[in-house]
Parts: sequence; structure tokens; C-alpha cells
Amino acid sequence: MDKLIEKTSPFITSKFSTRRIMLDVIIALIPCIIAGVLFFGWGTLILVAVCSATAFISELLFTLIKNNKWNWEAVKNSSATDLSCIVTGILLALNLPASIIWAYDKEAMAFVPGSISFANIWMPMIGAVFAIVLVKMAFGGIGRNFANPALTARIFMVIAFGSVMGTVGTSNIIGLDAATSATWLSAGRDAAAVSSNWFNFLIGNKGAAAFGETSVIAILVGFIYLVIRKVIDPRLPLIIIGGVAVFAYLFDALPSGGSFVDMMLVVAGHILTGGLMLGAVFMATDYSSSPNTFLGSVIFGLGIALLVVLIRVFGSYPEGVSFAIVIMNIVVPLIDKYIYPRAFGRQKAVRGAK
Amino acid sequence: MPINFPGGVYPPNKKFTNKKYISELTPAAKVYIPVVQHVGKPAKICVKEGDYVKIGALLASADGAVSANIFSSVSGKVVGIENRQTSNGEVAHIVIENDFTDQTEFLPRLTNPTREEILKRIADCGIVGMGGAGFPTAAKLDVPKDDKIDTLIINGAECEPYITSDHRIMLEYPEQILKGAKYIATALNVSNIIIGVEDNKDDAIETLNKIINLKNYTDIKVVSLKTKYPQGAEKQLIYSLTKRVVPACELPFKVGVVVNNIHTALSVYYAVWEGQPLYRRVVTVSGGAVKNKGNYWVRLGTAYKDILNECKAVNLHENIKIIQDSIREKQAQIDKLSKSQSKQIKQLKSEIKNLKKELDYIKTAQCVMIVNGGPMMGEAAKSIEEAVTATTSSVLFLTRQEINNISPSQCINCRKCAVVCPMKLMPMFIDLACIAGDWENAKKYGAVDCILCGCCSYICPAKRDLVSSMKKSKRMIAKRGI
Repeated sequence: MDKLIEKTSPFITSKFSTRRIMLDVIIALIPCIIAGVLFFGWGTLILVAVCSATAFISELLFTLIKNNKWNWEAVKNSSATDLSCIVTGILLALNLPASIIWAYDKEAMAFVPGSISFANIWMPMIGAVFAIVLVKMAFGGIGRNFANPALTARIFMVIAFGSVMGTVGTSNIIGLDAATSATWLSAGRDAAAVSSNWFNFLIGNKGAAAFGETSVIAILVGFIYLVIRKVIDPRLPLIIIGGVAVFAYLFDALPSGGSFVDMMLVVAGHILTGGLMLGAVFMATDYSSSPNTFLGSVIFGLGIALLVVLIRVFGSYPEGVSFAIVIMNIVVPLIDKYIYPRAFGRQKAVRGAK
Repeated sequence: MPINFPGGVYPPNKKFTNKKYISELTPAAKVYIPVVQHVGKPAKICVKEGDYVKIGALLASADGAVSANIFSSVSGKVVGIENRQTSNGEVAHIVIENDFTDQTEFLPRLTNPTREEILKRIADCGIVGMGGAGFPTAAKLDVPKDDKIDTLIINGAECEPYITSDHRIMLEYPEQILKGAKYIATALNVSNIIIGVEDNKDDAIETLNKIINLKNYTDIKVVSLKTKYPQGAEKQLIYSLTKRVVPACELPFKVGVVVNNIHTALSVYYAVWEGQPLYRRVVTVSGGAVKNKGNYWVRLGTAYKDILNECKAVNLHENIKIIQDSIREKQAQIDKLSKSQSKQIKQLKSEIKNLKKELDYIKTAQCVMIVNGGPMMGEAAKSIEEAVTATTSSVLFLTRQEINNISPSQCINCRKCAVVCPMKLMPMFIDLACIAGDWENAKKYGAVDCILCGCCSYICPAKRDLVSSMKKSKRMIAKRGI
């Protein structure tokens, strides 16, 4: 008999693996990518490919340089193979405006919707390197990042390449009339625009500052998939969206007045437009930068909701989901420090009736 | 609504042996009886080399309140007292050579025993908790006077994969179990007995209920529990059945409950009615490397290698050698043949291919790990020389395919471990604290309350070895007195 293996129990394990979870997230993101292609043209697909490839290569190179091993074995053992960098890459791409890959018409002073130009392609590449190297790997890789890498990179790009990142436009390849070319949040947030365009808002045929956030339906499909596969806890996105509804009612709908229906339409507009859905489902639920307890999630989610509405209503940016999430990401270690569960039996003892 | 507790996981059932009748495993020529088969002090050896002992003869007597008597499991001559390695460190073993005459030396039957008589008999017969913990039953039943016990729980959950010994006992010895439970209840002076059985053992529930109705035992109730791991963990079982929460670092009698295993109840019956001390137990022998999987009455002290021989385990080391030799031989033949004999070369090559296939198959069927207990909480044996003790509910001979051999990767903070933890701890933080040597934080996140059920390691997508971090943290916290 060969030498027996000695190890600690348990000796069997579940089929869960990091790669499987990341693959599930990628599958859940496919509807969003399809929606992006439908409403913003084929260029968006190129963006997704460029961002994920750059993210993968930068993580692979980072681990190879760090370990200073340059063989096939090292490539196979690299943390890049767990696919989490691809998730970051896709999420970053979904957070970019489609116009980044469009040609710029100097005479009309605008991007030409639907055209493809690689003039600005270095921007998403820099964004992906920023996300992986500075936000994720520099802090210790998967599970150690203090904030969501893709969102942090987006904020970096908004500040660094403001003129390109702020642009909004549509170019659907299915021949529907687009709702607006400007977003609802930047165009006055009025109730009438919601009631006349609700269907376009739902399917995503509207202007969006990030092409991935456009289709509420596509994001919901991904959300349901993630919940069924037990990848995320459905309560956190629901808390955020519910919180935004409440705060939007208090800070936007109520002060601007109007009939109850109008107020509700404004609340609906807050939920259906902007990056809220994408942020709540895919960004805020990032494992390492969200709290570990349900109570912590409530604080975290409501904090995001409050910040989102405050930035949208009172801030100088029309949209604030990415800022809100990253700010609350930084608060998470504090939440986790004070809120942790009591062990079974450490609560008040319950002695049953005799 | 299924009776349940928060947390827990659903490992694959793998109860291959739940239809196999319990049979007697042929006793080995030599048995190695360890003097520690229980929690507490080792028993004091009271035989010497050369003594002749019968089945049931006292070999070592209990040393203090938390200890247990050890008895001979065969009749024969004591041939030595030697220290042998076990998974709990080095332990003195009494080696007895079996003369196969099976002479017995049992105690008289107690026909209508009083509380004191039962307690004394349980202590005399060295009964310990047979579910795996091995706490001496006499010490467990001797509860402090001011803690009033109102419920006796008999644990028939058997939530670990593979193990079926309790299941088979419930099917084949229902009357004995119920009588044993009644003896324990008499010793505790309680009149409310609950038998908790997981709902994947419906036939056992039916059998027990049939006997209860037949004999009109109104004080015994059989409750069907949801099939979930670790349903059989003491605190979780108490919560499921009575909704009482045992305070941390306390024993169940604080909430008026005493829990005993199914097999313990059976042993109590044998001790009181038949006068048999604890000299054998039912063991499930299973795993991919065993041919005759089944449930057996095994004499305590039987070495794993003897079980392996009896159960025709697929120990194929020699076969591998033979096949490797024949492959080498055929290769040499090919080298000798000239290129003109292409037909023969072709035939030889196809033969080699088939042999290699067989070799691969055999290698996957080879035992690479012997587990004492179930795959979730059991202990990997250090060698095949180790012996069955009173707490060995199963011996698993596992193949490489059956065990987890994925190397751990970095924690991704998914908190699945915290979600499944039946004790509501934060295993990922304890793991981090353990790596950093930060024992205070390990305690803050509940390392001392860990029951080592292994749910966290089971569910972990990064395959981190959380349980060994827990064990280390517990040890260090105890050592430093934090």
C-alpha cells in the first residue's frame, strides 16, 4: 500500500470553485452585453473584448513578474486563470460610454454614432490596467481589494478623460426610435419623460453614459441567474433599489411637487435610468468590498442609496452611483469591525417551557 | 414543516451500505486494544503479559470520574503491552492473541434495575458515547443535582455521508434500542424520550414507531428531522428538537437535556440485560477501495489491516507491480523484434495499451486514505496498523477520486462559510487571524465556539483548509489563556 494521505477533515468538498463563481458572473453579464450591442452597435463588443483582454494580460503579467517565474506552470498557477479579471474587464467595459469607440466628426463637433474608430482605444486599456494593477493586485489580489476595481477605474477615467467619458449617444442596430440621446437624469428628471418613454426605459433604448447600464430587463435577467446560482445574496440589491426609491421620493419627488402619479413616475425614473441597476446588482455585491453580515449590508445599501440620490439631486454630476458605491466600499471595513454575528449559544439563552 | 436548524450543508449522501444487514466480522488473530477509547484520563492497565483473558475481562480500569473501563474483546493470552501511534498521538495498547474459543465472562442480568444499579452497571461496563465523541456515559448521566433534566434525546440523525451503522441498528435492533433508552431514562429519572432521526431513514422511523405502538411506550416519541449536515451535532440537534439554545461553553444539561447516541442506547441495553461490557460495536466499512462494503459487528481493537483483509479491500499494490512488469517485458520483446515482424509488434503494442488502461483503472481504485469516522468530521489514520475503538462508527477506505485534492487558493471573501456555519461564526476571519497569529481576533469571531463540523471547508470555493485553522486557533487560545 502506498503512503496514506494525512490531512484534516473534511475530506470531501462541494463543487463550488472560484472559477465557477466567476464564470457564473460572466454568464449573468451576457444579457447586458447583448443589450449594449443592440442599442449601441457592434463597437461595444470590441470594447468588452479589449477591456477583458487587457485585464487578463495585466493580471497575468503582474503575477509572473511578482513571482519571477516564466514558464507554462507559472502561467497555469497564476490567479488570472480564475477568471475574476475577466469579470472586472467586462464590468469596466459596461461602465464606459459607447462613444469611446466611435469616430469623432471634427466639423460637427460630435461623435458619429455607430461608426468604429480605434483612436481612443488606449483609454479603456489604461482603465483596465488601472483597475487590475492598482486597485486589485497592489492590495493583494482577489478578495483583498478595498473597493470595486471596475468602478474605481471608471471614476479615474471620468476624471482623467472627462470630455470623452461624459458623452452620451445612441445607435441602435434594430431600427427602433431612441427615446432621447441625453439621459433622463441630465435632462431635468421630469415625470412626463418617464410616462411617454417607459417601454424604452425598460428595454434600454435610451441614451446612457455607460452602455451596460442601459437595459433594465437585461440586468434583471442577470440578477435572477445570479440568485438562482446562489452567487449573490438578493437582499443587498433590493435594499439599495428600495432605498433609492424612498430617498428619491423624499428628496426629489416631494419637493418638486405634482400629483401622486407624477411623483411616482419621478421615483420610477430614478430607478430605471442611470447606473443604479447595474451598480446594485453587479458592483455593490462585489464580495470583498461589501459587508459580511446582513445588518452590515443594510447600512451599506442604505448608505449607497442616500448618496446616490443626494448626488443626483444636489450634486454637480447628473449621476452618482459609482461614487456612492466606492465611498461606501471604503466604509465597509469600519462596518465589519463593529458588526459581526454572535455565535450560536452566545445570545440570550432560551430555556423552553417546562 | 421540516424540523431544522440554521446553517448547514447538503453533502452527497453516499449511503452505499444502508441495505446491508449487520454481520459478524471474523475476529482477527491479534487485537490491539488502546487504553484510551474515550474523552478523559487513560484507563489504568490491570493485566500483565502472559495473562489469560476471556471476552469481557477487565483489562484496564477507569482512572477518575471522567474515564472508562476497557475490556478484552477476544479470549486469549495477553502477549504484550506496547505504545502505538494513533491519530491522537502515542497510546498504550494491550495486545491479545486470539485463541478463537470465544469464552465469555459476562456480568449477571439485571431484571428490574433501580437508578443506582443502572448507573453502576453503565460505569462497570465501560459504556462511552459511541457517536464519535466518546464521553463516558456514566459521567454524562451523573448530572449535578440542581440541573433538572426533563428530556432525553436519542441521536439517530447520522448526518455524515457513508455511515449507516446507526441506521442498520435502528432497523435490526429496534426493541433493544428502546429498552436501552428506557434504562437511560430511568437512570436520569426523566419520562420524556425523543428519538431524532433524519428523514432519509424513513424505514427506521417506521420500524421504531411500530415497536412503540406494539409495546405501548407512551413516553417515547420518534421525530423525523430534515436531512442536512450537521443535524446530528449535539447543540444543533437540541435546537431542532426542542428549540432550546445551549449556552456557549456549557453542556446540554444546562437546558434540561441529555443527548445519547443510538448505539450507546444499544450498548446500555446489552450491559443491563445481557451483562455484556463494551467489547464490540457496529462499524460501517465503506469507501471506493473496499469490495465487500457493509455493516459489521467488529471487536474493539481490530486493526484496519484485518478489516481490509476480511472485506477484500481493493488493495492492488501487488497487481500494479505485476502489470508494470508485464508491460516492461512486452516492451523488451518489441525491442528484440526486427521491423519486418510488424504484425507481432502491432499486437504487442495493443496489449501494452490495454495493460496501461488497466493500470490507470487500478490506480484510481487504490486506497489512499483511511478515515476513522465520516468524511466530514472523521480522522485520517496515520497507518493501517491503527485499531477500531469504541468511537469508530465507520472505517472508510477512500480512493483518490473520492477525496478532495484541490490545492487551496486565496480567499475571495464570498462568506459562504459564514452562511453555512451552524454556530454562526465567521470562519474566513478566523482563518485570516490564524494566519496572522492574531488569536484575540480569532476569539472575537468565535473560534472557541467552533464544533469542527467542517461545513465551512466543505463549501469553500477557494478550497481553503478552514478547519485546521479553527483547530489551531482553539489550541492557541487555550494555550495562551486569552
